[in-house]
Amino acid sequence: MLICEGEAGGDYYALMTEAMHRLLLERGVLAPEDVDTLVADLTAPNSGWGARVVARAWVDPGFKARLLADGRAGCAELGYPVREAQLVVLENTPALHNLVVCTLCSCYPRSLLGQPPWWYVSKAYRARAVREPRAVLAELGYVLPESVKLRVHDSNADLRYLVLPMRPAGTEGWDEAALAACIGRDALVGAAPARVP
Amino acid sequence: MSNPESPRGYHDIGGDPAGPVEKRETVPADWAMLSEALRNAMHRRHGNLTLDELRRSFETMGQELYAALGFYERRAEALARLLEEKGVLTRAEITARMEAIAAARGQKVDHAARVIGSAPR
Amino acid sequence: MTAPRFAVGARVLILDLGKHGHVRIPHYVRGQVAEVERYCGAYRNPEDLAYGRYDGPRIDLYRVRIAQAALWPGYAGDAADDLEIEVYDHWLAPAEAGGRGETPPC
Repeated sequence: MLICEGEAGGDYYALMTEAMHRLLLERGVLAPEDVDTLVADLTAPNSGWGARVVARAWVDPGFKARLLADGRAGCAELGYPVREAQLVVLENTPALHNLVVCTLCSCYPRSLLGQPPWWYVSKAYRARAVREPRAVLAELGYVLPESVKLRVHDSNADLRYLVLPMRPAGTEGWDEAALAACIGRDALVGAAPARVP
Repeated sequence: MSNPESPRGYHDIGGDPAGPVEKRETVPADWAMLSEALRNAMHRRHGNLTLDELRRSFETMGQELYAALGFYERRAEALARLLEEKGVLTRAEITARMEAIAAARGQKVDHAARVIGSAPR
Repeated sequence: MTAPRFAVGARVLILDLGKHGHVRIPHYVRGQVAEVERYCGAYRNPEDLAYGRYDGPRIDLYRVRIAQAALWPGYAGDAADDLEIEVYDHWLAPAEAGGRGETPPC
């Protein structure tokens, strides 16, 4: 099968969406507030929320233990309502690195991190991350040391995944805001390490 | 090993060869978030249009269309198909409204090519 | 509520049910022997939800672990690398029993 990164139809589907929206409202199938609420639910979450969750886990061992036991409950403590059924938090260690992919569509913890990056939904990533994850990581700019075991997580069903990256060296005593700035979007699915900015 | 004779959807690409992973930064358009919200709102208000129905819809729209369309585009296409399937909106009603909106803007819709163009003067 | 069929650490065979239509078990893991990593609870079956059957039975879901070297002949990474994926109960059989006559483990 030839993998093709389709990108056709943007203007056409923008117009189709506008037409569906108007028709659904006119006919009373949906109320305007239904749609507005859900647009807000989709656009509010962002990787900064995930970064703050990780930063808290770095400074608070009790929180980290609760987060690892129940990712949704941990995020709720910080006021982030994860709406997916479960959030599994995967801790990176010096011996183990975790990488998340969804080969079948592009499942991602959207209610915490927002919309996934373009590369995450690309078919090349979906196809190759399971079979040659180290090569894919290198293409994304992260060469994983050979001594570190790599565990790929195919997010194919009801659970969603958040990677807890390792705290960078040299950040001892930093406050949570400074630590959160070390955690980029891609680190939260294992595609990059946390880095001192 | 999986049975090579077993049915395999064109979306089931895990392990297939593909080109390099490009680190492109593209933010989803506002219309894409609206399209996602419409599906979510239908599910929340009416209990139908589950995520698995949306997936099934883009898994059955045909490999050519699935390959050609972008991520949010194929989900919007899948949504339109589900709305017709559930008897909520027909495709003809949707396309007629698209043409009316476009005409008011001096534009014309090419449904076969899935593009919007300037109306001939 | 009955106890889940498989315990953490159990060895299971991921079946190839040969089903048409919407399923969530990708081809590349079918026929593989895996180890149960966790029990995830019971969820409605996507094979029902995809066709408008919203109130079908809840199915036990497991997270299972497979060695990358077993999945991909000539795997280029470390021998310890592995992969985890969620599998619904009806796609699993005890590995010791050798499955149900579908695809034997390699």
